[in-house]
Amino acid sequence: MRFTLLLIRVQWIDRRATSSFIIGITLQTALLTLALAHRATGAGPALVLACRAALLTCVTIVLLSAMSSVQNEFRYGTMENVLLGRVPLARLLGLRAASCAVVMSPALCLPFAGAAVAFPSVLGPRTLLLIAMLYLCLAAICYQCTLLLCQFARPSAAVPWFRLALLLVGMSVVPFPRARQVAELLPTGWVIAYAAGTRAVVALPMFLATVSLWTCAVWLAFRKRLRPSIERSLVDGRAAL
Amino acid sequence: MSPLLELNDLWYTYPHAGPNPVAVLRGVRAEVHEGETLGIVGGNGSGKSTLLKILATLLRPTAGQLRYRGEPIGSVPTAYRAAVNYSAGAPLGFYPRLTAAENLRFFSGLKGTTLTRHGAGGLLDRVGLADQADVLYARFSLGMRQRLHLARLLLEPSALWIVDEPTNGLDADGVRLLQELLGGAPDRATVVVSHDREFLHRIGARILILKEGQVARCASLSS
Repeated sequence: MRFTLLLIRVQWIDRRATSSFIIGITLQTALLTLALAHRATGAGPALVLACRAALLTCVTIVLLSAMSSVQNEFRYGTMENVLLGRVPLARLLGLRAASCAVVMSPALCLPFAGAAVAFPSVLGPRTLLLIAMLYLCLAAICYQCTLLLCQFARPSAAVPWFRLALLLVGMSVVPFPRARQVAELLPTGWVIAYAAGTRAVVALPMFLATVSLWTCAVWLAFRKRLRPSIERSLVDGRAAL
Repeated sequence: MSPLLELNDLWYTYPHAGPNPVAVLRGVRAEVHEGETLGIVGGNGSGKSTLLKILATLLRPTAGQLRYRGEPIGSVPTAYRAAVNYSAGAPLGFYPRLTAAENLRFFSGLKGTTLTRHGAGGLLDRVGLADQADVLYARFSLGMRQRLHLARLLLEPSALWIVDEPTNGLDADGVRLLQELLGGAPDRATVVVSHDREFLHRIGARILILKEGQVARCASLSS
């Protein structure tokens, strides 16, 4: 528990270190919260807008955390000691992803607080479950993206593409034909479906299934490549770029 | 009695080294016995730090074998890693935006048991950093950083210390402290890379001279 608290602190400090990032995230969260309070016509639409606003902001935080989980270790020269520790690297990255989910709490919860101020009936067990689903979803995405980004010579160059894919596919920000069906390939699509109340019976089990399937698939595909790719980066210093 | 560590014909070539790769290590052979200190010296680019990384299992040798207590170290050297403590030395190696105490607590967590604040304070006291427990690592001088590296070596008992240039930036008191720490556990072996031959002489190290990736000489310093 002490170790997890320290990890949360490391994540918080790393995120806080970039003032432009903090200002950007604060502005985005505030603007989205204001917009949903003005645009939503009732508690239902407000909940969907809050969910989308939280996802929009937190996906950025998640990807930045996923990138820095490994890249910062090289920058600080701590990767050697991380590799030689008793905590397996894949587990450590999992703990880091969970810490990242805790750190993004303000950006995740503020849109819901805004929705609750505008429409008090938003407050309830369904909203709490939705927030829990968002935490789980974002922690899982963070973990998966960390494992994926380790495979890239320059993770920072891959992050914008990951973000674009998550926004286009996972959140249907561009309503192309069958966008909703495509979004439901990812857990984000099912979170939004649960928030909207459409397909309410299957949304939760399908969300859990997609989270588990994607996490297991990425873990199985990349856990054995993790160490060799990190060793490669240790040797030629590419990850520190 | 078999040596604690055997280096059998170790070769290492860096990947992505171009069309005509040159081996950084070329058939290094050596032994390290329990309680012994092996000092590695050599010019820039002679392969000293690469050799330490191989000993710490951070790099896999291109050819050759590393044996610990007579057993080859496999691809998942859990038992070996539990017995080894590696320090790459300052200026890097810790989180710059965490304090000295937080850094120590974090790395103790990686070793399995997260220190309490009090426990971290005790270790910092041993390396002369008791008053700097709440200072950010980024604000530390090179010597203070080196002392924090020493504190991390003390996190748990180990059979082998692998240390790269530990005297860099240390003042006279710091070097004395380092000497005491190196001599503090008679059964522990140490492999240390240093340019400071006088220091190696004072700690009674057997010397291995590396030249262009090969062992040029291995003997006691007096000889």
